[in-house]
Amino acid sequence: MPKFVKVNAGMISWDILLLIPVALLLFIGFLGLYSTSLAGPLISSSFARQIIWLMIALFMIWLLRWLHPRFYYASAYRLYAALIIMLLLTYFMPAISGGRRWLILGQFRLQPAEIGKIFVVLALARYLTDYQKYLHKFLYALVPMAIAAGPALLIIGQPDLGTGIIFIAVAFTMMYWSGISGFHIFVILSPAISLFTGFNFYTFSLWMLILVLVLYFSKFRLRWNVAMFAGNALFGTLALTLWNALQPYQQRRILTLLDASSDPRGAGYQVLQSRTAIGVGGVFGRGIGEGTQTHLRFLPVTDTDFIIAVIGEELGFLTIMAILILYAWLFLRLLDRASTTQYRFASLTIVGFATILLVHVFVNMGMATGLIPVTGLPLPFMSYGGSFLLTCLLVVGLTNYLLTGET
Amino acid sequence: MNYQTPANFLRRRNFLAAIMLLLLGLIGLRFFQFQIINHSQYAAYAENNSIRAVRLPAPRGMMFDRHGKYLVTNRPQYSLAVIPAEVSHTLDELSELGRYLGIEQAYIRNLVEEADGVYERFQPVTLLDDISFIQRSYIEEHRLEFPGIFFVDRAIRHYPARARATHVIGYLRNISIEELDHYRNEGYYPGDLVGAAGIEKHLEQVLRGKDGYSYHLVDNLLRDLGGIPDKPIQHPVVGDSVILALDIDMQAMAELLMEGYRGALIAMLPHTGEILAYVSAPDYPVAPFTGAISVSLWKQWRDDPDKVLLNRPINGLYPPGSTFKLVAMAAALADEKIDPDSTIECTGAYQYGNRLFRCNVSAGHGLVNLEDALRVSCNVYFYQLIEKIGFDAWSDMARQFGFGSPTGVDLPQESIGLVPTRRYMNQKYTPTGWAGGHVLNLVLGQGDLLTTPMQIARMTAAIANKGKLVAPTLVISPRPTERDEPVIDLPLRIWDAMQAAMYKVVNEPGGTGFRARISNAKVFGKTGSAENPHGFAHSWFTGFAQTPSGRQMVVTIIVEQGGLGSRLATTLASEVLTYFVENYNEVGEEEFAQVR
Repeated sequence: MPKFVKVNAGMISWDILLLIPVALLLFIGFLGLYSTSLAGPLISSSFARQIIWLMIALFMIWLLRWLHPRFYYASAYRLYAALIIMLLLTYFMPAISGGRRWLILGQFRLQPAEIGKIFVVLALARYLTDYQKYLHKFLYALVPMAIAAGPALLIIGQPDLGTGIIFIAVAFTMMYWSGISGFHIFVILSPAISLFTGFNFYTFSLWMLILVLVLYFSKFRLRWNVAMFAGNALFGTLALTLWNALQPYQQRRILTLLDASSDPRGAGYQVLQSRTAIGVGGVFGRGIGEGTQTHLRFLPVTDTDFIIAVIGEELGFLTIMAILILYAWLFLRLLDRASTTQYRFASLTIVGFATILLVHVFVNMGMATGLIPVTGLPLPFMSYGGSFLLTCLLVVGLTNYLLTGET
Repeated sequence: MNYQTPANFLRRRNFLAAIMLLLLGLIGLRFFQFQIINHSQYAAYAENNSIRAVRLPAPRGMMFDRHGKYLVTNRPQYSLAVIPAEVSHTLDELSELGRYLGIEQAYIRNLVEEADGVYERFQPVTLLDDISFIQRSYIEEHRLEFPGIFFVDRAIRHYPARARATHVIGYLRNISIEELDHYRNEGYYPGDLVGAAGIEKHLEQVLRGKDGYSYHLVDNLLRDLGGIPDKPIQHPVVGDSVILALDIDMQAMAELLMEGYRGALIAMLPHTGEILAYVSAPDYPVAPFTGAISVSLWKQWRDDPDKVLLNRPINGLYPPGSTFKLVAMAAALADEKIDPDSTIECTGAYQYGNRLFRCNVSAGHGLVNLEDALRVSCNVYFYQLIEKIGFDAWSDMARQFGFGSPTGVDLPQESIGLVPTRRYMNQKYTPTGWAGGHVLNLVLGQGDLLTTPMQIARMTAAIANKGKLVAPTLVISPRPTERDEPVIDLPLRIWDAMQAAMYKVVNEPGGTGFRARISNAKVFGKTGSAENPHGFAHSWFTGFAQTPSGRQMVVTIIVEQGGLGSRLATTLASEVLTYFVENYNEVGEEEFAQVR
């Protein structure tokens, strides 16, 4: 692909306002990882390995500087196709701890869903750019949903519910950003609402009432309205059937959300211990390496999914606030850049990236505080995990590359 | 690439930013709730999570005799324990250690592999109790070869005295589930020792100390990570000591006297009820009672034909034999219509209805009055007497002397015996099914009548006290609670007459208790020979000695199937009384009677 190689690589302008929050978040993340790594030899710890991953990620971003921004637009569908093939291949791989999420080639393991987040964003951005003029038509507005749903369903089947949900969230945000009408998004979203309200007769009835009213005042043709209503009614009644199709552990996780303390050694155990760790931290925290919840191993998977609990226990509320402010800063900066660029593809991609990061942040911290079920999503820039760190840093790197040339 | 005008995005940007801030704000509120509002609650929870209080069991209180000599103390015991989770991979090494200590390999394997579940696997289990110093030294030397083992030391019972006083002291056993329920709020835990008999049981709350605690940090698998510097150890508080009324030396002597016999011996100060010697023979060895007694050993004792677990002085139910003639005598003296000096002719037998009741001397005693009849224990006289005083008066007098009710001795689970009344007889035999013949047996202390040796001793004390029915007392300190000590309301002349008669039993020619006669003191007594369908008659003596300084002590002895009538019990009594006179004639008031 020599035609995409940029000759003016030196011209890239790094957005310093974007890099500062990322650097600070990385720093706090390393403090947490350092704490969890105190138990064993540092050289083989997650702290040391995360530093190596950071080096690799920075090196890859440095390599990508020679790719022209146009490459991402041009290759979006090819990358998307590659993702689908890789996801399909995972189903033929041996299972690791109950899931088939990895492509395994000898020692090397790759989780396609991780890098796939970026590929799906690119594919959606490409579509929403190319068909900008047709998006006011409902059938065209349906396509992005299909683009996201394909890999999402494959990933949910791996099974990895959390990552699958991210794809859906990304699709909706980008659809909204692209100018698809709010009403169409409502229509596309309605089956999901039917699904969740379907568990309870009264909420479902209320939802159906709202749906009828909205459809009545809409400019749709009658047969569309009837189809909409019938489809939603069917979806709602399917809810229980779908629920039974969930893995028992997934059901448990959702149920545990309702009362974490009822099952202290089961799925709720993690949340209870995580909440305890966070609560113990107080305003200033107990100091690095002083957290009993972390170091006495009451809290599981501290370096990946529950790194925020470690930080909450050892560094306290003020640091948590700082982290939230840094994330807010990062997202606002991404939205600003997305809304001010004149490149539509870049704008949509950046919004997709921001959504990926925000969903991770909300789901991870919400799960550590018991707001939402444990879905096993890591925290951007902070959780231990090589391919996720790589994805997050690529998001930042690509944002810079895509915006290069506009100023 | 398509281009666009940025202005289109301002509204959407603001909308997405609002959603983003809402979500992050929600998370922030959640952290505020946990870290600021509920901080102290979670801090407490985390502490419970990670801090385990390790109990330091308090040593039980000691027991002393009336002169402050050690009766029960504590000594350290070293047990070898292992944590199953830590030795499950080194069972071979452990087996080697087992060979040295004489523990079977299968036993160790069982012990380690039985511990199942996360919690149990990290709880220590005892491999061997009470290992010797030499064994301990050897293991310490080879410590590195045996990973996962450690020593547990705790205080266990030690019995340094020559006397055993087994049935007074009692024993400990592992607390049962029911008791655990009962004592839940008093700090008992599974595996604790609890007094199961004797003073150990009666004064459990006194002897038991207050457990201490040391605080340890543990991880999520409850693995001990050592102490916590800013949580100091609460040291255990030793249980209170108990001073018993027993005189260890007299007790030891009495135990020696009773060795080889089955029966009971009680030596008691009549005024205060203090018990100087208390023997139930045979007893069980005290040595295994260092800690809890094993179930198998307990069963072995329970099934022993000699009934070693039976606490004879308070739970042995015996026909009192002729010692009970004292009750009939008191009833006769209290009856205005009866002249104690009038005589009857004893021909050796008594015709009642169509049955012939024999006297204890087949030739007969000739002419006897009441005092003579007691002295020679003439059955015929008492046959006639009971017909005059009547069954109800006799039964009432027996109850006044405390028979059929507990003596109040400070030991658990005392038996109350049985004094037949008219109602009882009617119920058991139907109103027409019993006759004077039954009553004739009762007056001799036979038949349905059942008493404990302690009741006989108390009756004797009442005679020595001229009325006061003292509550037998084993514990001097802590001071026993006030117990009911009724006074038998009989005129002084009756008590004098009874004492005079008892004196003659021992000291006048023909008296059955002549073997109890000792120099330097006046001895009052009554013998008994209670017929026993299973073999020889039980041999009884009850009486008291009075030293020249006026000190009195009651002694009551029964030897089961002692043979030779009352001879055995009477001879043994003289030994105990001699010891008393030699040792207590001149002691000061303080030392003599300590409960006042």
